[in-house]
This record gives sequence, C-alpha cells and structure tokens, in this order.
Amino acid sequence: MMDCQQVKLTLSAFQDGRVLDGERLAIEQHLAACESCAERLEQLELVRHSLRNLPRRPLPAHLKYSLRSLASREAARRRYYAGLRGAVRAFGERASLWVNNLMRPVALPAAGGLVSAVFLFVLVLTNFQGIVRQHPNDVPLAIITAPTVRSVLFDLSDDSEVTLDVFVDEQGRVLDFVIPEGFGSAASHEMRRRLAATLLMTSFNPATAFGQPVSGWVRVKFRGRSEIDVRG
Amino acid sequence: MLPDEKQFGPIAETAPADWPGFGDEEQLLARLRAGDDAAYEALLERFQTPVYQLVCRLIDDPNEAGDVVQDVFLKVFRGVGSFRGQSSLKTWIYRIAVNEAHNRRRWFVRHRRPEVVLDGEEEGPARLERFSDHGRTPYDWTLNNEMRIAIEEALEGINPVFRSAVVLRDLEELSYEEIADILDVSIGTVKSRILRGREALRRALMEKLEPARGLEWSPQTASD
Repeated sequence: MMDCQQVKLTLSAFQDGRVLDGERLAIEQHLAACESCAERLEQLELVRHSLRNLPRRPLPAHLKYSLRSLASREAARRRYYAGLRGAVRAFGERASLWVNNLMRPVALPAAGGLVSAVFLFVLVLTNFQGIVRQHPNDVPLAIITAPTVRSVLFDLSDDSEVTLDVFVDEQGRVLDFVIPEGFGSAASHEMRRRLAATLLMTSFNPATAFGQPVSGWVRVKFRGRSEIDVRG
Repeated sequence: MLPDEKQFGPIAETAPADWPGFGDEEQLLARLRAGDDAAYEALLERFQTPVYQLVCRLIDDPNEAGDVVQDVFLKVFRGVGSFRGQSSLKTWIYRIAVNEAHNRRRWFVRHRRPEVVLDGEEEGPARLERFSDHGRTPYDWTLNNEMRIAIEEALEGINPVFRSAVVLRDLEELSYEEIADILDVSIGTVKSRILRGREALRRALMEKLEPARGLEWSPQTASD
C-alpha cells in the first residue's frame, strides 16, 4: 500500500497514464481510501481541464501577412542560392562582404599612413643632395679591403724573389709572416733574419672592414730592389 | 528500446506526420531546401498557429509573441538546409520556439525592468501590466471569466522551466518523449517538471479560487 507522499509524487504521471499497471492499482486503492489524496487528484484534474480549455488566441492578421511575406522572401532567397552558379555567386558575395567587413575598420588608418609615407618621402627626396665625396682618398665604406704596403725602407739587397703571407694588425704592424706552400722556404737562419728585418722596416696600411681598421693577412712578393707586388 | 518504451508500449505519438501534396516529411524538406513556395506555405499553415499559441503561453508579454514567432520561422527557414532529421520537424520547430521564447523572456527581464524602475513610478510588473493589453482585446473581453483569468495568472506566475513542460503537455498535448526531445532533457526530468508545474498551478489556482484556505507556499527551483 502506498502512502500519501508516494502517491503525491506519482499523481501527475498517473493522470497521464505514465505509471506501471501495479503502480496504478496501488494508487487507485490509496485514492479510494484517502480523501485528501482524492481531493488533490480532483484539483489536479481541474488544473488540467482548465489548461486544456484555455481559449486559443487567434493569429493576428498582420502576423499572418508578415509570415507569408517572410516565407516568400526566404523561398526566393533559397532558390537564388540553389545550384552551382548560385553557390559560386553566394560565395563571392560572402567573400566580398567578409573582405569589406575586414578592411573597412582599417581603411582610414591605412590610407592616412600611405599619404603620410608619400608626403615624408617627397619631403626627404627634395632635400637629398646625393653622396658628396669630400676627399678623393677617403676610405670607401661598406667594403672590405686587404692590408697594403705603405712604404719599404730596406729591401733584400739582391735579385732574389720572395713571396710571403704577412699578418698585419689593425695598426699596420706586422705580427707574423709565413712562406706559403709552393713558394719555397727560408733556407737559412740568415735568410729569415733578413726577411724579418725587411718586414720590420716595411709599413702597412691595415685592412679595413666597413671603414674600420682590422687585422688581416696579405700576400707580399719582394723582387729585390724594392719591386713589391702585393696580393690581398 | 528505451526504458519508457518498454514500460508503456511503443511510442505512437512521435510517428512522422503526413503532408498532403508532399508525401512524407522528407519530401517536404527536399522541397523546402529547393525553395518551393508551396512547401513554405504548407509549413506555415501547419505550424504558424501552434507556434503562436505556444509562444503566447511561454512569454509574459503577448504583445511580443508576434516578433518571437517571426524570429522562430526565420530560424526555421534559414536552418532547414542544415536540418538533419535527427528529430521530427515538429519537435525541431517547437524546440526553436521554446528557446526563442526563453531568450526573449530573459532579455525582457534583464533590459526592460531597469528602464521602468528608473522612471520612479510604478514597479516593473505593475507598470507592464498597465501598458500591456492582454485580456483587453474584444476577443478577450468576451472570454473574460474568473477561471480563465485565474489559470492564466497562475500560469504566468510559475517557474518558466516548469511552465514550458506543462504547456507542452497540457496545452499542446505532446508526448513525454516529444517534450524530452524539445527541452533536451531526460523523460524522468520531464515527469518531474510536469509534476512540479502542475502542483504549483494547483496551489496557485486553489489560492485564487478559495483564498480562505490559504494553502501552504513552497519555493520552486529549476534544479531538474
């Protein structure tokens, strides 16, 4: 036998026939015995009856026309977009709209920026005189140059020819030298001493990189009697 | 087979509807997608009045119902191309209607009431009552009786979550399965909402009709 609380929770489903057979019998038995629950069911039936008998509001005429117009418009729109051509056209329209929406907010700043850039460029161009070379022996910028021989005080004092690779620092001083492969070698200590003395008395212009003096190697060929050939 | 179907037999009320001149629902949908005027007309003929009735019962201001119904059908017409038929056309349209009505109701609560309060005159509901004309059209005057007013007022007073379930069941006479599909909840939740909605209506109605009884009041929540 169900109690009042259980029946109270199932009365709504009972009204709609959404209870199992056994449950329905138990509820009916309880209702036959319990006046309070029977009255509650009666009230719920009154509620449902009242709801079902609520007057139907007539559809306003203007709404009917509006809906018909809407349907006609949407049907035409759908026909327009039907088929491949329509799809392509629709895609084009959507893309155009998307680009417009994307660009419109930045159109004014972008145009302003472009005009400003052109204006500034013209302003600079009218005042631009070109590169004026003030001194003919200026070191050209933006290139890398090898060390060069500035002057030789002594030479080898004979007709021998020696080729050397000389390492010159950024102040034009000789720090090291070697005889490159295939150009012979310093046969004697005396020969090396003479070479060192000759280089000691030879001044170099240092190598440059972008106008700044840097250290670097240079190949120098001594041909006796101060005939010097320099290869960077 | 669903548990409820096992208990209560096959679900007969969710069978697809016939569409005179279009065969079944699939053919109607195909014609709608092709932009056939007659299909649009048939859809409107079938659903415009039920949707209007439903929306009128779900929002507090019947004057807004027309706008909501137009929004509903605009969504239906625009969405018919992507409708996959996972539910019936009827439950899909009703679901859109219920959602639109709830959205409008929420918007109304958020935006209209502060505007009214700032005027410094009557409070929101009283002022809205004064300006809205439901129950004041010639049609309504002829049907203006005590019971109708009582049940309509009681219906407006209950929690919108319960109201949707009760309206769909008792006014639109939909099955529990259809209501569950429309509200996107389980059948158990539908049962619970209908129970609580009817109980709230019963209390409100009894209070109005028999004020001396002074029935007990209990708070409503939309937790399920």
